[in-house]
Amino acid sequence: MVTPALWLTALLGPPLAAALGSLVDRNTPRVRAVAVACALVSCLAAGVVTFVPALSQLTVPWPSPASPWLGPSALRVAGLSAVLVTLPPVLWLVTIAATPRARLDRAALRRTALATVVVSLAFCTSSPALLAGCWAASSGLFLAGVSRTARGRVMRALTAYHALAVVLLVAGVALTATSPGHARAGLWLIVAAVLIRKGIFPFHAWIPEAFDRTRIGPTVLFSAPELGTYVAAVLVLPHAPASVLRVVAVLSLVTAVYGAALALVQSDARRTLGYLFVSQSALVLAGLDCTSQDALTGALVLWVSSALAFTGLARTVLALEARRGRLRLTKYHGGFDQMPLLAASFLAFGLACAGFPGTLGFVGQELLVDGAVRRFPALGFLTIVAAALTGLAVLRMYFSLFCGSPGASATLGLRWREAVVFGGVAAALVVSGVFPVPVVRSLDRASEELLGHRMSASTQGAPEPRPATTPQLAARLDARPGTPP
Amino acid sequence: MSGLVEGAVAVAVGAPLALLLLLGAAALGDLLGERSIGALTRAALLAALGAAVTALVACALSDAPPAVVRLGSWFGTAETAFAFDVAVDPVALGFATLSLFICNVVAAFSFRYLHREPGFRRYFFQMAMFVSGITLIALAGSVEVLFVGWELLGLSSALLVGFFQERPAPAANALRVFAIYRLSDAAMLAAAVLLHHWADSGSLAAVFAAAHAPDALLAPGRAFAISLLLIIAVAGKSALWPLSGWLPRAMEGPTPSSAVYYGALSIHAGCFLLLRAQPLILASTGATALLIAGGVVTGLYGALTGRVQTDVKSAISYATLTQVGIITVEIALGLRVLPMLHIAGHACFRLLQFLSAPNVLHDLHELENRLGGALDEGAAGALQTRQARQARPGVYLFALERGFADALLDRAVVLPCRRVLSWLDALDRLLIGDSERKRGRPW
Repeated sequence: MVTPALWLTALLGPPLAAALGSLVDRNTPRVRAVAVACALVSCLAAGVVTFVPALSQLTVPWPSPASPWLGPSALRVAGLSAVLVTLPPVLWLVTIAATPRARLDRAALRRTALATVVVSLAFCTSSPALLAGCWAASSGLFLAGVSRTARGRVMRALTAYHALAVVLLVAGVALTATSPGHARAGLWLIVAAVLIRKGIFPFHAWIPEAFDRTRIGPTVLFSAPELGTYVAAVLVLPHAPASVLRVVAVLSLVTAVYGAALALVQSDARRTLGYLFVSQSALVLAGLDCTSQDALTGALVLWVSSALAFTGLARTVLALEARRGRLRLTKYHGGFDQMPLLAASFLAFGLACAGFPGTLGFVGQELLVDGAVRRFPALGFLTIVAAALTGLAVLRMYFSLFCGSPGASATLGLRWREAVVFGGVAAALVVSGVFPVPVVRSLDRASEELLGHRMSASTQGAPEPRPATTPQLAARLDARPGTPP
Repeated sequence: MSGLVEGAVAVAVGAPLALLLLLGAAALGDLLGERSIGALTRAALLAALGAAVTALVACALSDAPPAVVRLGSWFGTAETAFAFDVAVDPVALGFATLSLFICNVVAAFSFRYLHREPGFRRYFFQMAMFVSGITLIALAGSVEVLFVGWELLGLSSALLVGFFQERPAPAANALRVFAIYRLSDAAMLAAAVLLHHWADSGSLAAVFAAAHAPDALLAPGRAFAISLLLIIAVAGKSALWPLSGWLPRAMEGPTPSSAVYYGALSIHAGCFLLLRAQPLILASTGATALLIAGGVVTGLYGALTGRVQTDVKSAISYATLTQVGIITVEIALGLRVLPMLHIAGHACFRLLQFLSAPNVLHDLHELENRLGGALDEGAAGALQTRQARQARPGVYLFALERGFADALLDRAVVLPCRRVLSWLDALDRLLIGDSERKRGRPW
């Protein structure tokens, strides 16, 4: 019998244990081995949620009477959280297992473990105060992680962006909780914090810079789970008026195209990655703010897909950099024959980002495009343009990084650890893209719940039409072609 | 619809997809050798062809009207369901049978042509992707299925153009081809979404068949918008003018892939889509006129340019383009049987020409040996003669430079976009305080 306490211990205990282990043990490869084992346990614990109904509706109330700051409960795993809670341990596992030995250090391993604890905890709560705390902690860990390579101007810029985001979030939460008359202003502050953290235009410039001038590992682990999107889903989406969401959706769609287009003209692989992330992350936020169930479900699927695919993409670039140094896209590096698995995985990750059929990204983008066009007919087409440009940027990277003559430089093949990680994540994206029903069903339930919260919290404007329920979905799927919906 | 036809159609669609997944999984672990890949490919393609022929014969013998069969549900939400619908009618099954027959021929040819080639596994994986794509396009009963096939076709095409990846030129050309294909894919997806949005139906049969009816699902303006997007999608995939510049670049791939893509099937996929969407396009006078103009210009362009090409594959590809232009005009004129026959005959003929292209010098020498002297230069075309070059230097230059199609596209679209994006990139760097302002090179 899995009790909530046992489950939480299995989820959060292993990364904490790995962090403590890195303080005690000075043998770095052993610390990594322990961390990989801990990450596997944590992944299993997160996966259990799907099979144990008691856990997928877990609520842990505060010991004392709740205040608006603290929210109704300390921990709440339901709907969206039940799916997202698997992301941090999986991303942690991919990160530590695929890091080249030369780049390993105990402090970095400790920070990745702590970042996993923080983001996992954030995904298990809807308490505004706890979310703000997790947000600040993850920003601090990110800045600490990149501070070894980013100095001077870059470090100052990153600190300024993230300090401003934390201040805006705390102020927004405080204003919303303490002064109901200023709730709208509080919401705008939270929205501004989300836009900065997610790098939505015009606050996007820090992301390519972070990818370009700092360590990619901490940057990816900080960005890929998209804590900012979760905060928007929990604190903004249920309460925000349609006008606020429309502004965010329009900005996000513009950013999605902007990021994908800028990725096309970069001459450096890291900067291209940065802009691709800007585009992907903006697409997720756009779907969240379209308030159509299709778009919302599509955004959630895309969230899961892009977190995995983008982490894989970044790790493959890191694996290549470990063998060849800094990668310029103005020449052809070659090496496909030495690393066919890495090339195939890179292509699979990139195509998942671009929403190619047969990957989970396609499912997310199809739903997102459909929903976005229904809400914003003209702007919805920006998602199509973004997908087309992303595909082109990915293929440009692929040809540059793997085609051409490798020249005189020897290229090492993949280590077995890297092969298992890259092959595993690529296979997961393809299998879930070919058989997407379990993922889509669970995320559709999550989006239904989110829209339900929005309707129950809505006090302004006309009530929005209630979306169809899951039984209706089954009826639609079983209907014969040509029959009216 | 009888169970036999449904089962046969499921096999025709499923066998190439299963082959794709199998070869993809095997490639990850480097598990299969040439013989195993050959056996698997033969089995899957023959099974698919047999099933398509069975379905076509059963469909022709029965009196059942054209139908859409739901093979299963793919995914869906509370608002939308994405089902796997396939069309069962003589046109769809005919094109599927033709495609699978040609794929079987090309696969048999490729086993020998690419024997011990380093990229043998890669080639057959991409070939499986192509067969899956063209089968889905042929049998698509809904816009979603059509779009999936369209994307599979585009990616496999670009990857095969860049097949000889140790040289930079194929990779650069593959990227160029893929750029045009992405435009085509975007137009197709936009058309699919608009169909869903305006007609509230993803069924191709429902939308296309109802376009002429008094209670048409789509108003004329909307029919024009969707037709325009479909024409852009087709122009990209079938190299209609002004998007023809990628065609000679695509000849970088192995000859069997050039044969199946740019001689036989891929280049006709657009024409087939036009044939399926014919009722919708004919419902809009503007779209019909546009299609006729596009077909005529493409036909003339292909005829003119093809005469001065200096390599055999490019010459054949431009000759193909001429016929594609004519087929497009036939479709725009409302004909149904003639374009289908034209597609079938032309695809088989070009397939033969492409597959014998590597042998052309050997054949020519043999012919000259038997004739006892060199062939007359005039047989190669009037424009190639010295008199023609002197008499019409402008036309000759236009044809030799392939109508300046690439240069015009670069000057009108690529360079301005690149300039704006480089400027935005510099602005982003300034925003974060980076004064270096490095400039990127897009291509």
